[in-house]
Amino acid sequence: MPELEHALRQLGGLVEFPPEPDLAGGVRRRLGEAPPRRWAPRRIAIVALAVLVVAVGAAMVVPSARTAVLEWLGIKGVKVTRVETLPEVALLNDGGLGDRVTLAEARRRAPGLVEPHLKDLGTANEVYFSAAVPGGQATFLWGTKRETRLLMIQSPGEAFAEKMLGPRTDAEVADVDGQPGVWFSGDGHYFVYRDRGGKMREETARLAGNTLLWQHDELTVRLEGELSKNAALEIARSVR
Amino acid sequence: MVSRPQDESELVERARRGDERAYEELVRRHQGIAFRTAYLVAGNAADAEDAAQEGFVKAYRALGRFRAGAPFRPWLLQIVANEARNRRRSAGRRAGLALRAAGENLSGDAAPSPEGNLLAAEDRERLLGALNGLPEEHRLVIACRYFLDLSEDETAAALGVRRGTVKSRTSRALGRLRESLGEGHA
Repeated sequence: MPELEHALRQLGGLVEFPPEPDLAGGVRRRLGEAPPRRWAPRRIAIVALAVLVVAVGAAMVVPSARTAVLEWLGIKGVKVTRVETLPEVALLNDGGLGDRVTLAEARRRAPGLVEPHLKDLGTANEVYFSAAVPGGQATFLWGTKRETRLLMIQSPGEAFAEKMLGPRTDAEVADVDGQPGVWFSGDGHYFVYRDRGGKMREETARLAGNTLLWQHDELTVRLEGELSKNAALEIARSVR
Repeated sequence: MVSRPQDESELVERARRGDERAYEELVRRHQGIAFRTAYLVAGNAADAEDAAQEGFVKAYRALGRFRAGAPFRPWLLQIVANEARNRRRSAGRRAGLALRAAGENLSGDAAPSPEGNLLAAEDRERLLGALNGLPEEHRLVIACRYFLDLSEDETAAALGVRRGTVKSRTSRALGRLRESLGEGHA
Protein backbone atom coordinates (compact mmCIF):
# COMPACT_ATOMS: atom_id res chain seq x y z
CA MET A 1 0.00 0.00 0.00
CA PRO A 2 1.35 3.48 -0.79
CA GLU A 3 2.20 5.91 1.96
CA LEU A 4 -0.76 6.36 4.28
CA GLU A 5 -1.82 9.91 3.50
CA HIS A 6 -1.53 9.27 -0.20
CA ALA A 7 -3.56 6.09 0.25
CA LEU A 8 -6.24 8.01 2.09
CA ARG A 9 -6.52 10.52 -0.72
CA GLN A 10 -6.95 7.66 -3.12
CA LEU A 11 -9.56 6.12 -0.91
CA GLY A 12 -11.32 9.49 -0.80
CA GLY A 13 -11.45 9.46 -4.56
CA LEU A 14 -13.41 6.23 -4.37
CA VAL A 15 -15.99 7.36 -1.87
CA GLU A 16 -19.33 7.65 -3.52
CA PHE A 17 -21.30 10.44 -1.95
CA PRO A 18 -25.03 10.71 -2.63
CA PRO A 19 -25.88 12.66 -5.77
CA GLU A 20 -25.36 16.35 -5.24
CA PRO A 21 -28.74 18.06 -4.99
CA ASP A 22 -29.43 21.31 -6.79
CA LEU A 23 -29.81 23.64 -3.88
CA ALA A 24 -29.93 26.92 -5.75
CA GLY A 25 -33.65 26.74 -6.53
CA GLY A 26 -34.65 25.94 -2.99
CA VAL A 27 -32.38 28.60 -1.57
CA ARG A 28 -33.75 31.17 -4.01
CA ARG A 29 -37.30 30.39 -2.92
CA ARG A 30 -36.34 30.63 0.72
CA LEU A 31 -34.68 33.97 0.22
CA GLY A 32 -37.95 35.27 -1.13
CA GLU A 33 -39.64 34.43 2.13
CA ALA A 34 -39.64 36.72 5.11
CA PRO A 35 -36.96 35.86 7.67
CA PRO A 36 -38.17 34.01 10.73
CA ARG A 37 -39.89 36.36 13.14
CA ARG A 38 -38.17 37.01 16.42
CA TRP A 39 -40.61 36.17 19.14
CA ALA A 40 -41.44 38.93 21.52
CA PRO A 41 -40.64 38.05 25.10
CA ARG A 42 -43.68 37.29 27.15
CA ARG A 43 -44.36 35.85 30.48
CA ILE A 44 -44.29 32.12 30.53
CA ALA A 45 -46.29 30.42 33.19
CA ILE A 46 -44.06 27.45 33.66
CA VAL A 47 -40.40 26.88 33.52
CA ALA A 48 -40.16 24.21 30.88
CA LEU A 49 -41.71 25.49 27.76
CA ALA A 50 -42.82 22.73 25.53
CA VAL A 51 -41.41 19.29 25.43
CA LEU A 52 -39.47 17.42 28.01
CA VAL A 53 -38.01 14.29 26.67
CA VAL A 54 -36.84 11.64 29.00
CA ALA A 55 -34.59 9.14 27.42
CA VAL A 56 -34.47 5.90 29.24
CA GLY A 57 -32.89 2.57 28.55
CA ALA A 58 -34.82 0.43 26.18
CA ALA A 59 -35.81 -2.01 28.87
CA MET A 60 -36.54 0.53 31.55
CA VAL A 61 -39.84 1.77 32.77
CA VAL A 62 -40.00 5.51 33.41
CA PRO A 63 -39.63 5.97 37.17
CA SER A 64 -42.68 7.40 38.79
CA ALA A 65 -40.67 10.26 40.30
CA ARG A 66 -39.78 11.53 36.87
CA THR A 67 -43.31 11.17 35.66
CA ALA A 68 -44.41 13.23 38.63
CA VAL A 69 -41.98 15.96 37.68
CA LEU A 70 -43.31 15.99 34.16
CA GLU A 71 -46.86 16.23 35.41
CA TRP A 72 -45.94 18.96 37.86
CA LEU A 73 -44.47 21.00 35.05
CA GLY A 74 -47.87 20.90 33.48
CA ILE A 75 -46.48 20.43 30.03
CA LYS A 76 -48.98 19.40 27.48
CA GLY A 77 -48.01 16.60 25.19
CA VAL A 78 -45.05 15.39 27.13
CA LYS A 79 -43.30 12.77 25.15
CA VAL A 80 -41.36 9.94 26.70
CA THR A 81 -38.85 8.60 24.27
CA ARG A 82 -36.95 5.41 24.74
CA VAL A 83 -33.39 5.59 23.47
CA GLU A 84 -30.48 3.43 24.34
CA THR A 85 -27.85 6.09 24.41
CA LEU A 86 -27.68 9.84 24.45
CA PRO A 87 -26.09 11.61 21.50
CA GLU A 88 -22.47 12.54 21.82
CA VAL A 89 -21.79 16.24 22.11
CA ALA A 90 -18.68 18.06 23.11
CA LEU A 91 -18.55 20.02 26.31
CA LEU A 92 -19.02 23.65 25.45
CA ASN A 93 -18.32 23.34 21.77
CA ASP A 94 -17.16 26.63 20.37
CA GLY A 95 -20.09 27.09 18.06
CA GLY A 96 -22.61 26.76 20.81
CA LEU A 97 -22.43 29.91 22.82
CA GLY A 98 -22.73 32.43 20.04
CA ASP A 99 -20.77 35.66 19.77
CA ARG A 100 -18.60 36.99 22.57
CA VAL A 101 -20.22 40.26 23.53
CA THR A 102 -20.17 42.87 26.23
CA LEU A 103 -22.97 42.88 28.73
CA ALA A 104 -24.21 46.13 27.19
CA GLU A 105 -24.39 44.53 23.79
CA ALA A 106 -26.20 41.48 25.17
CA ARG A 107 -28.72 43.77 26.85
CA ARG A 108 -29.16 45.77 23.69
CA ARG A 109 -30.10 42.57 21.90
CA ALA A 110 -32.19 41.20 24.74
CA PRO A 111 -33.24 44.02 27.08
CA GLY A 112 -34.69 41.78 29.77
CA LEU A 113 -31.41 40.16 30.81
CA VAL A 114 -30.28 40.38 34.38
CA GLU A 115 -26.63 40.70 35.35
CA PRO A 116 -25.70 38.01 37.81
CA HIS A 117 -23.31 38.99 40.56
CA LEU A 118 -22.42 35.99 42.62
CA LYS A 119 -21.27 36.23 46.19
CA ASP A 120 -18.13 34.19 45.69
CA LEU A 121 -17.46 34.47 41.99
CA GLY A 122 -18.51 38.03 41.26
CA THR A 123 -19.59 38.98 37.76
CA ALA A 124 -19.12 36.65 34.83
CA ASN A 125 -15.75 36.51 33.13
CA GLU A 126 -17.27 36.24 29.67
CA VAL A 127 -20.65 36.94 28.10
CA TYR A 128 -21.92 35.39 24.89
CA PHE A 129 -25.02 35.98 22.87
CA SER A 130 -26.61 33.65 20.36
CA ALA A 131 -29.33 34.81 18.01
CA ALA A 132 -29.78 31.27 16.75
CA VAL A 133 -32.18 30.55 19.57
CA PRO A 134 -35.62 32.06 19.11
CA GLY A 135 -35.72 35.24 21.16
CA GLY A 136 -31.98 35.14 21.67
CA GLN A 137 -29.92 33.62 24.42
CA ALA A 138 -27.23 35.07 26.63
CA THR A 139 -24.65 32.94 28.37
CA PHE A 140 -22.70 34.22 31.36
CA LEU A 141 -19.54 32.22 31.88
CA TRP A 142 -17.33 32.07 34.95
CA GLY A 143 -13.86 30.78 34.28
CA THR A 144 -12.80 30.23 30.69
CA LYS A 145 -14.22 28.24 27.84
CA ARG A 146 -11.52 25.68 28.43
CA GLU A 147 -11.98 25.57 32.18
CA THR A 148 -15.52 26.58 32.87
CA ARG A 149 -16.62 26.83 36.45
CA LEU A 150 -20.18 27.93 35.99
CA LEU A 151 -22.62 28.86 33.27
CA MET A 152 -25.78 30.88 33.54
CA ILE A 153 -27.90 30.88 30.41
CA GLN A 154 -30.73 33.35 30.13
CA SER A 155 -33.38 32.96 27.44
CA PRO A 156 -35.88 35.79 27.15
CA GLY A 157 -37.74 34.35 24.19
CA GLU A 158 -40.33 31.68 24.15
CA ALA A 159 -38.45 28.66 23.01
CA PHE A 160 -39.54 25.10 22.93
CA ALA A 161 -37.11 23.40 25.20
CA GLU A 162 -36.13 19.81 25.04
CA LYS A 163 -34.20 18.15 27.76
CA MET A 164 -32.78 14.76 27.13
CA LEU A 165 -32.01 12.77 30.20
CA GLY A 166 -30.03 9.61 30.49
CA PRO A 167 -31.38 6.72 32.50
CA ARG A 168 -29.37 7.74 35.56
CA THR A 169 -30.31 11.40 35.58
CA ASP A 170 -32.65 12.64 38.25
CA ALA A 171 -35.07 15.51 37.95
CA GLU A 172 -36.85 17.06 40.90
CA VAL A 173 -38.99 20.07 41.58
CA ALA A 174 -37.25 23.13 42.96
CA ASP A 175 -38.73 26.32 44.31
CA VAL A 176 -36.79 29.49 43.57
CA ASP A 177 -38.37 32.23 45.65
CA GLY A 178 -41.79 31.13 44.59
CA GLN A 179 -40.84 30.73 40.96
CA PRO A 180 -41.06 27.24 39.49
CA GLY A 181 -37.89 25.37 38.82
CA VAL A 182 -36.48 21.94 38.33
CA TRP A 183 -33.16 20.48 39.41
CA PHE A 184 -31.38 17.99 37.18
CA SER A 185 -28.54 15.94 38.58
CA GLY A 186 -26.66 12.75 37.96
CA ASP A 187 -25.45 11.65 34.57
CA GLY A 188 -25.09 14.01 31.65
CA HIS A 189 -28.05 15.48 29.90
CA TYR A 190 -28.64 17.74 26.98
CA PHE A 191 -30.46 20.94 26.35
CA VAL A 192 -31.60 21.77 22.88
CA TYR A 193 -34.25 24.02 21.45
CA ARG A 194 -36.98 23.33 18.99
CA ASP A 195 -38.71 26.10 17.11
CA ARG A 196 -42.43 26.34 16.67
CA GLY A 197 -42.24 24.54 13.38
CA GLY A 198 -40.71 21.57 15.13
CA LYS A 199 -37.25 21.98 13.67
CA MET A 200 -34.18 21.74 15.81
CA ARG A 201 -32.62 25.15 15.95
CA GLU A 202 -30.28 24.60 18.80
CA GLU A 203 -26.66 25.44 18.34
CA THR A 204 -25.84 25.20 21.98
CA ALA A 205 -26.28 21.55 22.71
CA ARG A 206 -23.80 20.71 25.39
CA LEU A 207 -23.11 18.17 27.99
CA ALA A 208 -24.29 19.79 31.14
CA GLY A 209 -23.33 19.03 34.69
CA ASN A 210 -25.92 19.47 37.37
CA THR A 211 -28.44 22.01 36.21
CA LEU A 212 -31.01 24.21 37.84
CA LEU A 213 -33.67 25.45 35.46
CA TRP A 214 -36.09 28.10 36.64
CA GLN A 215 -38.31 30.95 35.66
CA HIS A 216 -37.19 34.47 36.56
CA ASP A 217 -39.88 36.88 35.53
CA GLU A 218 -39.81 36.73 31.75
CA LEU A 219 -36.55 34.88 31.57
CA THR A 220 -35.92 31.19 31.53
CA VAL A 221 -32.63 30.68 33.33
CA ARG A 222 -30.35 27.70 33.49
CA LEU A 223 -27.46 27.35 35.87
CA GLU A 224 -24.99 24.66 34.89
CA GLY A 225 -21.95 23.45 36.74
CA GLU A 226 -20.66 21.07 39.33
CA LEU A 227 -22.92 22.42 42.03
CA SER A 228 -24.96 21.03 44.85
CA LYS A 229 -28.65 21.75 44.72
CA ASN A 230 -28.43 24.07 47.71
CA ALA A 231 -25.56 26.02 46.21
CA ALA A 232 -27.43 26.37 42.94
CA LEU A 233 -30.58 27.53 44.72
CA GLU A 234 -28.59 30.07 46.67
CA ILE A 235 -27.19 31.51 43.47
CA ALA A 236 -30.58 31.45 41.80
CA ARG A 237 -32.19 33.32 44.66
CA SER A 238 -29.46 35.98 44.51
CA VAL A 239 -30.33 36.88 40.93
CA ARG A 240 -32.19 40.16 40.88
CA MET B 1 -19.26 35.75 -26.44
CA VAL B 2 -18.34 34.06 -23.22
CA SER B 3 -18.98 36.07 -20.09
CA ARG B 4 -16.13 36.42 -17.62
CA PRO B 5 -16.53 34.28 -14.49
CA GLN B 6 -17.28 36.55 -11.59
CA ASP B 7 -14.67 36.92 -8.92
CA GLU B 8 -15.96 35.40 -5.70
CA SER B 9 -15.38 38.46 -3.57
CA GLU B 10 -17.31 40.46 -6.14
CA LEU B 11 -20.19 38.01 -5.93
CA VAL B 12 -20.15 38.18 -2.15
CA GLU B 13 -20.18 41.96 -2.22
CA ARG B 14 -23.11 41.99 -4.64
CA ALA B 15 -24.96 39.47 -2.50
CA ARG B 16 -24.33 41.63 0.57
CA ARG B 17 -26.11 44.42 -1.26
CA GLY B 18 -29.08 42.13 -1.80
CA ASP B 19 -28.35 40.74 -5.24
CA GLU B 20 -29.95 37.31 -5.02
CA ARG B 21 -28.69 36.30 -8.45
CA ALA B 22 -25.13 36.82 -7.28
CA TYR B 23 -25.85 34.70 -4.25
CA GLU B 24 -27.38 32.01 -6.41
CA GLU B 25 -24.10 31.83 -8.30
CA LEU B 26 -22.29 31.42 -4.98
CA VAL B 27 -24.68 28.62 -4.05
CA ARG B 28 -23.98 26.84 -7.32
CA ARG B 29 -20.25 27.14 -6.82
CA HIS B 30 -20.26 25.78 -3.29
CA GLN B 31 -23.26 23.50 -3.05
CA GLY B 32 -21.20 20.39 -3.78
CA ILE B 33 -18.69 20.82 -1.01
CA ALA B 34 -21.39 22.12 1.34
CA PHE B 35 -23.55 19.07 0.76
CA ARG B 36 -20.69 16.60 1.13
CA THR B 37 -19.51 18.25 4.32
CA ALA B 38 -23.02 18.14 5.72
CA TYR B 39 -23.30 14.52 4.66
CA LEU B 40 -20.18 13.53 6.55
CA VAL B 41 -21.38 15.31 9.66
CA ALA B 42 -25.07 14.41 9.57
CA GLY B 43 -24.60 10.89 8.27
CA ASN B 44 -27.44 10.77 5.76
CA ALA B 45 -28.37 12.46 2.52
CA ALA B 46 -31.76 13.89 3.54
CA ASP B 47 -30.42 15.72 6.59
CA ALA B 48 -27.38 16.79 4.63
CA GLU B 49 -29.54 18.41 1.96
CA ASP B 50 -31.68 20.16 4.58
CA ALA B 51 -28.60 21.32 6.45
CA ALA B 52 -26.89 22.61 3.33
CA GLN B 53 -29.95 24.50 2.18
CA GLU B 54 -30.59 25.97 5.62
CA GLY B 55 -26.92 26.85 5.88
CA PHE B 56 -27.00 28.77 2.62
CA VAL B 57 -30.12 30.65 3.70
CA LYS B 58 -28.63 31.53 7.08
CA ALA B 59 -25.37 32.56 5.49
CA TYR B 60 -27.20 34.92 3.15
CA ARG B 61 -29.02 36.52 6.04
CA ALA B 62 -25.77 36.83 7.95
CA LEU B 63 -23.77 38.35 5.09
CA GLY B 64 -23.91 41.70 6.84
CA ARG B 65 -21.62 40.22 9.48
CA PHE B 66 -19.29 38.59 6.98
CA ARG B 67 -15.87 40.20 7.01
CA ALA B 68 -15.18 41.75 3.62
CA GLY B 69 -12.28 40.09 1.86
CA ALA B 70 -12.32 36.97 4.04
CA PRO B 71 -12.61 33.61 2.30
CA PHE B 72 -16.25 32.72 1.85
CA ARG B 73 -15.99 28.94 1.85
CA PRO B 74 -14.78 28.26 5.42
CA TRP B 75 -17.36 30.68 6.77
CA LEU B 76 -20.08 28.96 4.81
CA LEU B 77 -18.91 25.47 5.79
CA GLN B 78 -19.00 26.43 9.45
CA ILE B 79 -22.64 27.44 9.17
CA VAL B 80 -23.58 24.39 7.14
CA ALA B 81 -21.75 22.01 9.46
CA ASN B 82 -23.48 23.53 12.48
CA GLU B 83 -26.80 22.86 10.83
CA ALA B 84 -25.72 19.31 10.08
CA ARG B 85 -24.63 18.73 13.66
CA ASN B 86 -27.97 19.95 14.94
CA ARG B 87 -29.80 17.50 12.76
CA ARG B 88 -27.56 14.61 13.66
CA ARG B 89 -27.91 15.25 17.36
CA SER B 90 -31.61 15.81 17.27
CA ALA B 91 -32.19 12.37 15.85
CA GLY B 92 -29.52 10.68 17.90
CA ARG B 93 -27.76 9.47 14.82
CA ARG B 94 -24.07 8.91 14.48
CA ALA B 95 -21.71 10.17 11.85
CA GLY B 96 -19.84 7.50 9.97
CA LEU B 97 -22.48 6.70 7.42
CA ALA B 98 -20.27 8.26 4.81
CA LEU B 99 -17.66 5.69 5.60
CA ARG B 100 -20.10 2.86 5.46
CA ALA B 101 -21.29 4.13 2.11
CA ALA B 102 -17.69 4.18 1.04
CA GLY B 103 -17.38 0.61 2.13
CA GLU B 104 -20.34 -0.46 0.08
CA ASN B 105 -18.98 1.32 -2.89
CA LEU B 106 -15.51 0.01 -2.59
CA SER B 107 -16.50 -3.54 -2.13
CA GLY B 108 -18.91 -3.41 -5.03
CA ASP B 109 -18.38 -3.28 -8.73
CA ALA B 110 -18.31 0.48 -9.11
CA ALA B 111 -15.55 1.53 -11.42
CA PRO B 112 -12.79 3.14 -9.44
CA SER B 113 -11.11 6.31 -10.58
CA PRO B 114 -7.79 5.91 -12.36
CA GLU B 115 -6.13 7.24 -9.24
CA GLY B 116 -7.99 4.71 -7.18
CA ASN B 117 -6.53 1.91 -9.21
CA LEU B 118 -3.24 2.55 -7.54
CA LEU B 119 -4.65 1.29 -4.27
CA ALA B 120 -5.11 -2.43 -4.32
CA ALA B 121 -8.57 -3.70 -3.46
CA GLU B 122 -7.25 -5.59 -0.47
CA ASP B 123 -5.54 -2.48 0.84
CA ARG B 124 -8.72 -0.45 0.43
CA GLU B 125 -10.60 -2.91 2.57
CA ARG B 126 -7.98 -2.86 5.27
CA LEU B 127 -7.74 0.91 5.25
CA LEU B 128 -11.49 1.34 5.32
CA GLY B 129 -11.75 -1.15 8.14
CA ALA B 130 -9.12 0.72 10.11
CA LEU B 131 -10.93 4.00 9.48
CA ASN B 132 -14.19 2.56 10.65
CA GLY B 133 -12.48 1.51 13.83
CA LEU B 134 -11.49 5.09 14.70
CA PRO B 135 -13.47 7.30 17.08
CA GLU B 136 -15.91 9.60 15.35
CA GLU B 137 -13.84 12.74 15.78
CA HIS B 138 -10.87 11.05 14.16
CA ARG B 139 -12.90 9.66 11.29
CA LEU B 140 -14.39 13.07 10.63
CA VAL B 141 -11.10 14.89 10.56
CA ILE B 142 -9.63 12.31 8.21
CA ALA B 143 -12.69 12.50 5.96
CA CYS B 144 -12.59 16.30 5.84
CA ARG B 145 -8.88 16.47 5.13
CA TYR B 146 -8.45 13.55 2.76
CA PHE B 147 -11.88 12.79 1.32
CA LEU B 148 -13.14 16.33 0.88
CA ASP B 149 -9.68 17.84 0.57
CA LEU B 150 -10.58 20.66 2.92
CA SER B 151 -7.79 22.89 4.16
CA GLU B 152 -6.94 22.93 7.86
CA ASP B 153 -8.83 26.19 8.26
CA GLU B 154 -11.87 24.82 6.47
CA THR B 155 -11.74 21.62 8.48
CA ALA B 156 -11.53 23.63 11.68
CA ALA B 157 -14.56 25.65 10.61
CA ALA B 158 -16.52 22.56 9.64
CA LEU B 159 -15.75 20.71 12.85
CA GLY B 160 -16.14 23.73 15.10
CA VAL B 161 -12.65 23.44 16.55
CA ARG B 162 -9.43 25.41 16.39
CA ARG B 163 -6.89 24.91 13.66
CA GLY B 164 -4.42 23.54 16.17
CA THR B 165 -6.96 20.94 17.18
CA VAL B 166 -7.30 19.87 13.56
CA LYS B 167 -3.54 19.41 13.37
CA SER B 168 -3.27 17.42 16.55
CA ARG B 169 -6.40 15.40 15.86
CA THR B 170 -5.21 14.55 12.36
CA SER B 171 -1.85 13.52 13.70
CA ARG B 172 -3.42 11.27 16.31
CA ALA B 173 -5.82 9.78 13.79
CA LEU B 174 -3.01 8.98 11.38
CA GLY B 175 -1.02 7.48 14.21
CA ARG B 176 -3.89 5.25 15.20
CA LEU B 177 -4.37 4.20 11.61
CA ARG B 178 -0.72 3.27 11.34
CA GLU B 179 -0.96 1.27 14.52
CA SER B 180 -4.05 -0.43 13.28
CA LEU B 181 -2.58 -1.26 9.92
CA GLY B 182 0.58 -2.41 11.64
CA GLU B 183 3.00 -1.91 8.83
CA GLY B 184 5.21 0.58 7.07
CA HIS B 185 3.12 3.72 6.94
CA ALA B 186 5.41 5.97 8.91
